[in-house]
Amino acid sequence: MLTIKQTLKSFGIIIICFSLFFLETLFLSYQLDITDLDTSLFNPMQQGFYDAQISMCNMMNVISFGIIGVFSIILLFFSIERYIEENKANMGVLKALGYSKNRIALSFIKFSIPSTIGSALGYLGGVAFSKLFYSTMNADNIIEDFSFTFRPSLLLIFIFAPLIIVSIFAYIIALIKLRGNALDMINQTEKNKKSKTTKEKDSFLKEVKTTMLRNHISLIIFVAFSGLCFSANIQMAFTMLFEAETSPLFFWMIFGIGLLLGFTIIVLSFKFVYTNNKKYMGMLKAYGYTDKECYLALYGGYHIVSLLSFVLGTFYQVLIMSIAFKQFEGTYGIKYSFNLPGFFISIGLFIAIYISVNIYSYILIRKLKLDSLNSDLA
Amino acid sequence: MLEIKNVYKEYENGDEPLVVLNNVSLKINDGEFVVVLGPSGSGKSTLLNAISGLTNVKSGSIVYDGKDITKLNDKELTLFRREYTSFVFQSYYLMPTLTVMQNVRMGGNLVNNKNLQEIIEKVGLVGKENKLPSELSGGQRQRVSIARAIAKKPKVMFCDEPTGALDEQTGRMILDYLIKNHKENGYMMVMVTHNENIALLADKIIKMNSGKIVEVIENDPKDIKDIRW
Ligand SMILES: Nc1ncnc2c1ncn2[C@@H]1O[C@H](COP(=O)(O)OP(=O)(O)O)[C@@H](O)[C@H]1O
Ligand SMILES: [Mg+2]
Repeated sequence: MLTIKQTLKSFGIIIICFSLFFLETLFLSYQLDITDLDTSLFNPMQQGFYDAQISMCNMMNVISFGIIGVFSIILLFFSIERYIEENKANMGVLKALGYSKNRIALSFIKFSIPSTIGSALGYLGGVAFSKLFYSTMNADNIIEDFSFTFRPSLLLIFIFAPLIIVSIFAYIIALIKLRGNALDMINQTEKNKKSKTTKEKDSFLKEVKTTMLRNHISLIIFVAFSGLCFSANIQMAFTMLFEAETSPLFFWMIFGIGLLLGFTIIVLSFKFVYTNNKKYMGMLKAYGYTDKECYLALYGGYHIVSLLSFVLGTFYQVLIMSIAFKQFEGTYGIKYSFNLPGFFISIGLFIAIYISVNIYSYILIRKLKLDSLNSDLA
Repeated sequence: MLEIKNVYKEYENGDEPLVVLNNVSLKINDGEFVVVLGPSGSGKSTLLNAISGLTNVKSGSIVYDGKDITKLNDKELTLFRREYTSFVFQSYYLMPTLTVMQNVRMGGNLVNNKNLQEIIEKVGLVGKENKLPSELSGGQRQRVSIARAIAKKPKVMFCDEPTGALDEQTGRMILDYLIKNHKENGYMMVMVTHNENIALLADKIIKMNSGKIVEVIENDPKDIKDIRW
């Protein structure tokens, strides 16, 4: 059954939770701390600063939740679903051996371990970072003695919320996946969508490419989200820096988290595509299809998905940022405008990372061992 | 003709390497049907992998028509497989997203074979062309994988426990298809099995044990109907 070691390998979950809770720890603590301040003794300058900080907080929360938060939560659930899917054959074996569905599904509660590790690391990281963050936000020490307050309730929520939510989610997803017939689960021969009548002139590899895409909708969504998430997060960091003139610290924070999260998701989505189709690639290679042909059949269809999702992410970012800037407008009188350099840097980074991940995937196909095709006793 | 000389292969296994092919030498003629027989773990699959260019060996030579495939790099090996080999494995490895016809095309496409419908007929799958693997029984799926293998017009057909996952009746039918098509097309066929009865169908039986060939028997092939299971 699923071991702790295997669970730890689900590094994607750790990183996603880390990113989410790192930012939330900082922003939420900051907001709570600042609203807790006693404003009755403030002088006008402090009051003005205070009001600006409050609206800044609102904006940060719209952004951090609207862009990074939403993506991390969706991606967290998606990756758990994919990780469970990867275990489907094992689940089928256990089911065939007579284990109850409930018992098998319960074992997937282990996915709450990496989530909790991620959220704990995120919390600790947030706390460690808070001193720098607070002093940057309160740069001229306008409000004296303003620092991070430890809140046990926040810690408990940040540890237990992912633990409980992920456990329940993993359990339910596993139960749903266990509905099938055990043998079909083992052989991974569940129903697929039928392709339209085949055209003789379409090459075989093209058919592989299109039917793969059509039958792995959740993988397409995952790949699409990786582009969307990367695009929105990185461009947001640039918009904040250049259009809202936030501190460089804030920029690097959002940029760093955006890059980490975006990169992780791109790697994850490619990993899932690979593990999903490894054995069929092995058979193609055994038959003498070249590494390049296999690579194109497997990944070729995702290029356009990624690029489109990057564009979509750009629009999403524009939308969220306009909403956020509205909150801010009254205080600082800044209007949202699209940051072109940020766009170019983001797409440059995205393409660089995308190409690297593709090269790596190509190498994986090239290195794919073929001597296990017949040792598979499934 | 295939000529294998002193093929040696070992796997890492702690301090002491595990010798899986211990100086195996063997000759297989064109058009011959050879069965490699031996208990589980004796190295049959490893031998098949080595001579079909799916895995490398430490030493020895594997020569097809004067070409030693142990000297080839990965790219050349791929081209060798493209030209020479087809496979039927215990697990069928049909593309789950492709129909029967499309799966057969995986083999046919490589050699521009246009007579795929004819092959579908030969393995008794008429009417199933547009079905997906998930809509077929195990025996039908194995027939698709046979059709795919034939469609490639191989010079050598490799089968590793092709009936391993099937019941007797279906297994007999699969062997029947394999043997009939072998006779019609005249390629070399190498089949791995641990079932002694199946070995009686072959022209030559190669018995393996602990990574060594212990006996080579020239056999008068029996009919599928005349063997026990
Ligand atoms: N990839 C591998 N790594 C390590 N040992 C292996 C590997 N593949 C096979 N073996 C070992 O090599 C021996 C021969 O295996 P195999 O050729 O599959 O035997 P058979 O097909 O006759 O059952 C077995 O002991 C097996 O455990
Ligand atoms: Mg074997």
